[in-house]
Amino acid sequence: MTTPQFSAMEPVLEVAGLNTLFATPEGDVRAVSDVAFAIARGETLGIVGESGSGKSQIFMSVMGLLARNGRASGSVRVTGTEILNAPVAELNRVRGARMSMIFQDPMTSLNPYLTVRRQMTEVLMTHKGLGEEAAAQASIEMLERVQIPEAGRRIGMYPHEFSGGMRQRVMIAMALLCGPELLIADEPTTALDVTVQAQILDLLMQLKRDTGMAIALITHDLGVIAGLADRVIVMYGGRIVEQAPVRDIFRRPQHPYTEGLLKSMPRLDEHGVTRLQTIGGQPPNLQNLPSGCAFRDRCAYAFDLCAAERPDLTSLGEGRARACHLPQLGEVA
Amino acid sequence: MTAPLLSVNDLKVHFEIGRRGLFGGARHVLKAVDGVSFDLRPGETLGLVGESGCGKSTLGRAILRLLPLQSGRTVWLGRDLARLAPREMREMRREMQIIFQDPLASLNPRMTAGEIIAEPLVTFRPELKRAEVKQRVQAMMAKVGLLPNQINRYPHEFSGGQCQRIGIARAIINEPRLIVCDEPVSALDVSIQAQIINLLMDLQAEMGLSLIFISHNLAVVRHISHRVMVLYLGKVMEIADRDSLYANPLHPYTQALNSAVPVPDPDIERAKPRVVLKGDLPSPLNPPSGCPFRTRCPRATQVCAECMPALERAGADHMVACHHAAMPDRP
Amino acid sequence: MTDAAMVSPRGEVKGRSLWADARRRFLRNRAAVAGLVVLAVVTLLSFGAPFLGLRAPDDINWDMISAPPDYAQGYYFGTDQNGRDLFVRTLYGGQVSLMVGLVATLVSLVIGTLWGASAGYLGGRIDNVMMRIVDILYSIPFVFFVILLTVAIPRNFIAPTMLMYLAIGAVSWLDMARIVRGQTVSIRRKEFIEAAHASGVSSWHIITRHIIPNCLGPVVVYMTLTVPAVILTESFISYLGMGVQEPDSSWGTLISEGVNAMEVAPWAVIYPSGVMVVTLLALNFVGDGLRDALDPKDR
Repeated sequence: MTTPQFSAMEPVLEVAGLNTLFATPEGDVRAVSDVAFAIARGETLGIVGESGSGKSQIFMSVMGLLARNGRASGSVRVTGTEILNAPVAELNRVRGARMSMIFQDPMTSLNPYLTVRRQMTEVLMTHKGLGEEAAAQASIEMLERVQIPEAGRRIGMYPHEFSGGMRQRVMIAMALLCGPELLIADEPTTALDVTVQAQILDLLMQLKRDTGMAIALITHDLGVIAGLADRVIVMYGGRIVEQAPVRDIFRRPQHPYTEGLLKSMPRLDEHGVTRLQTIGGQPPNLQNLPSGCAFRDRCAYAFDLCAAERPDLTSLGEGRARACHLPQLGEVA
Repeated sequence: MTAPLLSVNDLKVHFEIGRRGLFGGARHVLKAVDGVSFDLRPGETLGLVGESGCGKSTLGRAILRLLPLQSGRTVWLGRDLARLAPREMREMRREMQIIFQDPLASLNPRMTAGEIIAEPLVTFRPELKRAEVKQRVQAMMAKVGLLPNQINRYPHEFSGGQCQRIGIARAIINEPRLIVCDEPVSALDVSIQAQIINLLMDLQAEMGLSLIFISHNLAVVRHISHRVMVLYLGKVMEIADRDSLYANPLHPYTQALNSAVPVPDPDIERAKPRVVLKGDLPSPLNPPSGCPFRTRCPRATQVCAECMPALERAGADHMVACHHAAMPDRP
Repeated sequence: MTDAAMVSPRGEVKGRSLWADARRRFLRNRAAVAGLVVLAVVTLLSFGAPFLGLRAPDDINWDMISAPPDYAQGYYFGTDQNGRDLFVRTLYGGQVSLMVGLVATLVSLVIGTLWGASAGYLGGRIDNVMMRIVDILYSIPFVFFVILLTVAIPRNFIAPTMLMYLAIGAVSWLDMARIVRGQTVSIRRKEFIEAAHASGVSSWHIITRHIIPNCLGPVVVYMTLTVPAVILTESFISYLGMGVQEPDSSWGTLISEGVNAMEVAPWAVIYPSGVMVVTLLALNFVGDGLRDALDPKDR
């Protein structure tokens, strides 16, 4: 399912029937259930959800980075190539080259004992077969592109010598080295200060415009989504509960959870202070989900059918879909 | 206007950084809080906003005397807290409490929810009978929205939002007059944040609490505060009542912060004018001369490097520390 | 396990403490439970040996000198060059070896925990001085230290076995002090300590209620690792002839004697060392099980 403006092109990423399970002493925990979506070339897909929604685990499955007790089934195709559970050698031809990932904490993907130069050139030398000098030159250019001042000098530094924002830029530069068609950004600005977050968001927006790469933006912050995403998927309890073009998600949410999330955020542009609307209860416990709709025990509109039967994700037309038994919801004022 | 509950005057908290082993070593001074003054009225919420390293958490802890002060005074209803003997200060602690950012880390994993909530109570009222303590703890649990029958559960059996409620119950069981809330919702999911904010506002209305609400999230601070103070590298940039600070921010840093917060509305977010600051926060160990913000400030001039602007009145309840506060917005 | 099952008559939900969780995880670990059973059997047999109606450890049978195991006559492990029952001697030797482990554990538990917790909690200069003392003691080579003690203190003043307990006890708490100090320092920075401080809780209660219970996990694990190390040390010292003296035995002396007679009476080295290896393995399994049970994240 793609939005009209991107539908003409073959998707960069196509996920179908993805299930991710984690084996724990208390039994299997299903972190991702029957997830299917596609990202078109040049499209930015926002994936929103709270802790335990499975939003990160989808992409850990895609990248083949699941924890040892996790296993994924279904289908993940990157520009047509099936990569789910592919052998590491095959995976490595895709990872880093055709798609790459950046994380909330850049230190998790930067080796603290190697200089940035060494880490960046290594990628280019393996994937592109460049020589040392050419690789270094390309790396410096990439650092300049992510607006790191004095890139030529700073490339010889170690990750800890960069500030948080600069480190995130370094990580983005590394992710872009091989010109991936898809960048997976997992909470890329969550650990950063607001003013630095604004810089990184600006950078991502600019890169998106200039390179035309697709971005999967995983975040809990609807504000970040609003600025960057073309289309949004809302996750709850391991399932997609709503997907829609970005304007529709904010203007006419069709799932009570999406609606609740929007209303429970204090906003800088609100007029007068009213009591915040809340979503009652606690975030879902994946080990003990309610029967039927996972959201029903926190849903203000839940009725009998919600406990009896889990709503399927059904299309509403115009690139929208939702998983809810209710009649369609009205417009948000 | 009522007398202030707490009056903070030119507060400074400096840390000595660097190894100080048996044989000495190089030392640096980190001025985490450098000359902060404000009054807090009973029942009022003061929001402290700023980015990492601005000293907002340090300030919150220094007010409670959880950290030693370099200089300055914190006057609580006319009594200088720094002059109290340790025993007197301990007695004072029932009046002022703190809530932390990480709900799970702020609870002892080996104690039950009931023991955790009861601890401040039994510390100050050791004469209470067990049954009475338990009854009060359960009443407090009900008040913060926890099921009283969960009294024997351990922190790891609760979700993050519930743990934060335990922390709040612990903070209010002695009916304090002031609670310092150090990023109390930053670690929580969006849907839970609103619950906790509402709970704090309800408790404030019910108990007449004063709150010092520390957060990097301007939207949350705007929602809960009566007055807001903006800090940058340990110094006050601007302090004003909520409406005039958000409607008419005078300091370029406040303006930049305001425009940096993403608004959850695609049309507004994509159309809004942005003041994207250059560069990163300078190291607090080696702050710029004069105004600490000048290295990133779009209005900085020679004078900014030479001296720190004084905090000056710019409105009825509006103070700003900027040489160029009167300049037109967003040049 | 449903919530309903855990509700007590007064309607209160029972909590699952971290200790209960750990116990559950430990009991599910088969190797660890087997280790615990083996340890219990060895301990019971060793300390119960005088009451089992066995021969005395210094009973000499002139007809059975260096005899192989003989089940009919009850010489399960055979006899040594002096015709003494090796099974009995191994059990009695176990008393010494296990006692050494126990002493070392107690010393390291009491001195090590107190020393480490005080240093970590008090911090600053006191911490510095206390830990440098540990460093200095640590830098003395252990065997040299034992030799020094044996030479310096006359034998009629204190029995060599006691001397060995003393030596091992004096050294075994150093590691524990370091571990507990490290734990204390990291726990001291936790927010719940700050919360207690902000609530007016006294330092004494902060240490006993908040710091020590949260240190105990690594302490318990480290204890199970200390015991085998100390048993090996004891065997080594006794092997060198500086520990337990005839006619008493320990696993170390038995193995040492067995090695001398290995070519003619291999059972004299095989059986005592077999028992020791089994015990040490059991201890290590228990330690492993405890570590996994107390710290599930590290698995």
